Amino acid sequence: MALTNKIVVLLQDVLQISQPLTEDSTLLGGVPEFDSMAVVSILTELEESFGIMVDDDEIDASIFETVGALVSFVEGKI
Amino acid sequence: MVVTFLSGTPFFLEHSSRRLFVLLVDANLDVAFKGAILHLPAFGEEMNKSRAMVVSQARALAHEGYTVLVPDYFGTGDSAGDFSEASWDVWLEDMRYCLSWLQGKAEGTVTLWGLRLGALMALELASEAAANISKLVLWNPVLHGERYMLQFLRLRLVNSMMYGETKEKVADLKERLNQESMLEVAGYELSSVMFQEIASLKAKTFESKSVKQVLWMDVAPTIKSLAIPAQSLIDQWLAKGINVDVAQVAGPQFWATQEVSRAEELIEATTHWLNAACSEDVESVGC
Repeated sequence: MALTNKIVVLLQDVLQISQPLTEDSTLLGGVPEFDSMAVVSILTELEESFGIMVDDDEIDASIFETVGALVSFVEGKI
Repeated sequence: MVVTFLSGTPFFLEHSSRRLFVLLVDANLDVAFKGAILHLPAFGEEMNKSRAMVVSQARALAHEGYTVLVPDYFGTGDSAGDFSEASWDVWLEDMRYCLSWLQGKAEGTVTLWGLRLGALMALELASEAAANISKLVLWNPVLHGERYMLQFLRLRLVNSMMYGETKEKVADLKERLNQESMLEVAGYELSSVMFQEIASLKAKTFESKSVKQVLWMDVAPTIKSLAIPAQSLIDQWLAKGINVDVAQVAGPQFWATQEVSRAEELIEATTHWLNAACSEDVESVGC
């Protein structure tokens, strides 16, 4: 849960949204602020905050489908 | 009348047959003149998104007695030329020209104020002895040109992901830039020359005999400790005798948000620091 909370705050910060997000919240196609510039900012923030490296091959629509999908992705990297 | 005056005068500065759009926000005549400031803009979309904030900061400073020049790089904003024809060296030459123009107008030293990639431009200019820069204001500076360029290329990759096109890799895009002279990224025709030039920039190689004071502003929605590369660079500068003040303020990263957003605290903190630095500085003209 702690990781989910951290990622939710990170998403709200980058996207400049205050709406509550849960693991089931849809990101890609669900949040209008979720554009390509936001995705690049989110990836950079995740890399810096969690000390991970995201490979080009891993940048896939599936990891941005929902908050839960993104959390699982990060979980697998740390 | 005063309001119109502070809103700034747009015009073109012509140099080496390049027409540069600039906004000159003249100092409020009702207060003592405090000095001149040259803004060095961010890159690409970050520059477009930050325009409103930059102009607001320029007006706040003009109100306090500073004259601020805000140029558009060649091939961007309202300046002449196409982005594909631009290069970092051309931009550097133009900014050098803007600096000397402003030095002539203000008859004194100029403070450089760089935003994001513009901070690397500020460092390049300030490292030149002839520029005689003593103060720098850096807003969320980009420190590593190559990392920044790779993030820019990532934008193309993410675009292709989002629109379900064939997926590309940053490494392949980088290779293409070695083979071809141009690559389109998020609506910008990026030349391989520009890519190589920016990729070679590193804040940690900065050397200057004239720079004495730096204001390092970091704005983020949630304040957290500075990244390790930033902190080690600040320590390095402090060890060299440069007085670096770091200020972290809460606010949106307005150069990247989808809607135009503002970070009021950033403007207040920047104006406050410059005023304080000015009152300590008795040597330079105006202050």
